[in-house]
Amino acid sequence: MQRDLVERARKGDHDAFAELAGAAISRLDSAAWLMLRDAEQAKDAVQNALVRAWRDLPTLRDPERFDAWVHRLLVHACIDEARRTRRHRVDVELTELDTPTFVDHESAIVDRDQLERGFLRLDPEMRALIVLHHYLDLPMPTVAATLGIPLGTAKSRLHRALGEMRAALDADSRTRPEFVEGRPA
Amino acid sequence: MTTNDRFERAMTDWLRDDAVGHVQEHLPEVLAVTTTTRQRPAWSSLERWLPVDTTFRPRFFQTPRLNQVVLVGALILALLAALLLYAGSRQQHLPPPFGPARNGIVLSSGNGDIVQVDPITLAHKTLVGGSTFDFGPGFSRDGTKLSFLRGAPSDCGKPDCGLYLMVANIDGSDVHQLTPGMPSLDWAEWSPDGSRIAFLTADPNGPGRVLAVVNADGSGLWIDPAHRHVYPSGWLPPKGDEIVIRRDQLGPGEPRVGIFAIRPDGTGMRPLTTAPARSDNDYQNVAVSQDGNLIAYRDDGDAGGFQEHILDLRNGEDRILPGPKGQSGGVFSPDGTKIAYLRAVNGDLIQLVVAPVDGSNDGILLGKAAAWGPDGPTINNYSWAADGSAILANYDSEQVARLVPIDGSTPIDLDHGNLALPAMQRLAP
Repeated sequence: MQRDLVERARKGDHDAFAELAGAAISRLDSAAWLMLRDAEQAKDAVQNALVRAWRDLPTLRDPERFDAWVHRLLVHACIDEARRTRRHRVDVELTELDTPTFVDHESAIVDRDQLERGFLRLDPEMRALIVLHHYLDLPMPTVAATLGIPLGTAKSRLHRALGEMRAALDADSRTRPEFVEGRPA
Repeated sequence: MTTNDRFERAMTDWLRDDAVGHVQEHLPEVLAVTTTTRQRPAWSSLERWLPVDTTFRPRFFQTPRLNQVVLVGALILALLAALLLYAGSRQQHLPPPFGPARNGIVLSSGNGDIVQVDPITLAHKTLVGGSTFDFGPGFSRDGTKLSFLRGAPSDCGKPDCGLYLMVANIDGSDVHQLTPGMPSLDWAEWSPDGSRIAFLTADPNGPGRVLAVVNADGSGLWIDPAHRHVYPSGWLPPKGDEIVIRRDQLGPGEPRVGIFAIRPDGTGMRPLTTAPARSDNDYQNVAVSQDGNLIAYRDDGDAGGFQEHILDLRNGEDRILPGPKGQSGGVFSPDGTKIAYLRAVNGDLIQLVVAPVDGSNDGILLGKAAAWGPDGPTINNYSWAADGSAILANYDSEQVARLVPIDGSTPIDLDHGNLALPAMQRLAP
C-alpha cells in the first residue's frame, strides 16, 4: 500500500504524497520535538523535511526505503535547525538548570527532569541517535542506514551518548545535593 | 535487570511520555507549500550515477619549463614532419577496449553544458551548449565518440518526461538523439566495440529499474532484455559480449540476489557468484576488473559495517580488503593492481582510498573527506585515469569535479556547478 503511494507520489501525484505525509507527520513531529525541545523549531524542521521529501521524491531509488529516507531528511533538518539557533537553545538550557530536580537513588532510576537535562547536553547528532533507536524503535542497522553511517559507528556513538548522559546526570546530582530527595546535604 | 537496562528503560519511557502532546496541526501548511513546489527530476540525483572508466595523463600535473617547451616543440615539429611522410599509409591508432591507455581530453558538465577542460590552465571550451540541460559525458572505449544525457522537454504530458541519451563526435559535432525521453535513465556505458550502449531506465511496467540497450546509430532499442530488475555494472572483459548485472530476486522460488552475466539480448544469463547472498542487501556496488578476472563488491554490512570484497572469478576465492569497517564502492585501476573506493572516516565522513588489490595493505587516503548526504555519499561518480595516475571524482557537497592524483599531490578542481560529472578520453598507448 505504502509502496504504491510512494510510486504515485514519485510520479507527481500530490494526493498520494498528502496521504504519505498525513500518515507520517505525527511521528515526525514527536521525533523533531524530542530532538530539538522547541515547538517552533520542530515545526520548521518537519516542514522542511516534508517539503524536501516531496521535491526530491523522484530521486528516491527504492520506494521500500521511504520511511528511512524521510527519517534521514528529518534528522538533517533538525540538525540544521539546531545549528541555526544554537544560541537560543543555550538560553533555554540555562533557564532549565534553575529548576529543582530529584533523584530516586533507592531504585537507581533517574528523574525525568534530570533525563531532560542530560539529553539537552548532547549534541544534535547524538540526540538523533537516541530518538531513532529508543523512541522510534528502529533497530541499529536501520538507524545506521538512516544516519548514513556504518553500523559499528552508530553503535559506538549510541554507547557514547548514553555514557555522556549518565556522566552528566552523575555530575548533576553531585553538584546540587540540596535538591536530592531524602538525602540531605 | 541491570542499572544500564533500567536507565535505558527509563529513558525510553521518558521519551514516549514527553513526545505526547507535541504533535502539531500543520499538515495543511506543509501541503500548501508542496502544492506549489516543483519536483526535482529523477535524473538530478548525483548518487545515481555510477563510476565509469576514464583517462588522464600524468604529465598534466607538471608545468614544463621554457627551455623544455622549446625543445619539445622542436621535437614535435620533427616528429610531425616524419609522421607526414607516413600520412595516408597508416590507419588511426586506437586504444584496446580494456586495460591501460594514454590520457586524452577531459570533459565535464557543470550547469548543463558539456565542456572540455584543460587541467593545467583550467580553461573551458563548450562542446555542447545551448538552452538544453546536458550532463554526464562518457566516451566510447576507443575514444572516438561521446555520449551524454539531455533533459527532455517537460511538455510531454507525463509527470516525468525523462532524459534523452545523446551521442556526438568527440569535438561536439554531429549531436543526435538515440532514445526517446526515458524516465530514470541512468548509467550509460559503451560496448567495447562501440556498436551499442547499455543503460538503466525505469521499468515501463511498474516500479524499479531495468536494463536497456540501444545501437549507437539509433537503429534499435531493447528495453528490459533481462526481464527483471537489475543494476548493471559494465560489459564483461575481455570479450565484452556480456553485461555484468546485480540481479534482484523475483520471488520466493528464485535464487537470492547475486551477480550474473547476461548477453545484451537477454539470453545466456549465468551466475558469476556461487556463494549464496548473506541477505537481500548483499552483493552491492559491483565493479569488474579490466581483465575480467576479478569482481569487487560490498557486502550487506551485517558484520558491523560495510566491507569491500574481491571475488576471483577464476577460482571463486572471495576475500575482504583490509582496513576499518565502512568501505564500499570499489573501482579497479586500468592495470588491475589497485582499487579505489570510499572509506568511512571520523564517524560520518567518507574519503577516497586507493589500495592494492592483493590486500597487502589497507591503502592510502586521498583528497578531502566529505559528508554523507541525504541521498548517499557526496563523493561520487569517481573513476580512474586511463594510465592509473589519478582519480576523477565529483564532490557533490562542494559541487566540484575534481582530479585527485594518487601520488598524493594537490588535487585539481576541474569544474564547478550542479552535475559537474567529469570524464576522460582513452587514447592508444
